[in-house]
Amino acid sequence: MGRPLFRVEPKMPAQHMQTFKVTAPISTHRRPATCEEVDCAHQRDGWKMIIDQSTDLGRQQAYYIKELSGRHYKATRLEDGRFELIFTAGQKCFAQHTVSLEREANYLVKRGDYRLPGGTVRRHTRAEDWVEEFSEHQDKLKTIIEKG
Amino acid sequence: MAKISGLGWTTLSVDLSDGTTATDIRNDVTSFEFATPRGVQEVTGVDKSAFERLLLLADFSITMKGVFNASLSHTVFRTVSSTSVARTTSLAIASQTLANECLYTDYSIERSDEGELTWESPGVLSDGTVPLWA
Repeated sequence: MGRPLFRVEPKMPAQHMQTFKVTAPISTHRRPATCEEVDCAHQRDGWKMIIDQSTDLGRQQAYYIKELSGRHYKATRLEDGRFELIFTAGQKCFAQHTVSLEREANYLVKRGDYRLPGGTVRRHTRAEDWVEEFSEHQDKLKTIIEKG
Repeated sequence: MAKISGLGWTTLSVDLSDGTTATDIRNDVTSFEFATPRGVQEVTGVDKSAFERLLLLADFSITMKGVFNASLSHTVFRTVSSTSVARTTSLAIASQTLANECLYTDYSIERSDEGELTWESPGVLSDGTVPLWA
C-alpha cells in the first residue's frame, strides 16, 4: 500500500453515505499492449535516460540495459559522473503498456464510502439500470434541498 | 472523429488545470466512484438545523483510479498539487450525462508488486450543488 490519500473528510459518517461505483479492473478489463498499439512516444521519437552508477538502482539499470535489454543506445558521461543514455527511435520502450479490452464495466451500488470498504448492495448488469438508480437518488436529494 | 463504443460507459472527462479544457481519460480509468448521502431520514437524525442539513445533503465526494499514462490522464492530474481549480468532471453512461465541478485533492501514483503503475485521485464537489443526470 502507498501513502494514505489526502482527502477532504466528509461531513457525514460513513454509514450514512452510499457509493455509486463503476469498475473495469486491470486484471479482467485490460491486456498488455505493444508500443505500436498505444502510439508510444518513446518508441516513436526515442528517449533519454540518466543513470547514476553510484547507486544500487543505477548499477542494476546499467547491467540490465547493457547485458540483457538488447536496446541500442549512445552513452555519454556527464560532468557529475552520471551517464546519459540516448535510445534511438523505433525500439520497444521499457514500459509495460496496457489497452482496454472494451468490455462492459461492473456497475455497483455500495453501502458507505471509502471509509467503509466492501459491502456491495447491488450489481447492475445494464448501465441503464445503474444510471436510473443513481439518477432517482440524486433527484430525491435535490427535491429535499429545494424544499429547504 | 471520436470512437463510438457500444458499451454503456462512453465518456469520462476531466478538465486540465485551466478548468476549461475537457480531456477524455476513460481509456486510463479502471474505477470511478461517487459517494453520496444515503437518504433523508439519516440526515435528519444527525443534525438539528435545516441549513446544516442542506450542507450535509450536498456532501459528495469522488474517487478515480486508473492506469498511469504520461500522455493522457497524467496531463490532467499532474497539476493537482500545484493548482486549486474546480475541474468539470463529466461522465456519460447509457446516453445520460453527469457533469460536476470537482476539486481534486491528491494524485497518488503507485507501482504494485506485479509492476503495474497505477494512480488514484480523490475529489469533492466544489460548488455544493447536487449533481444531476441529464
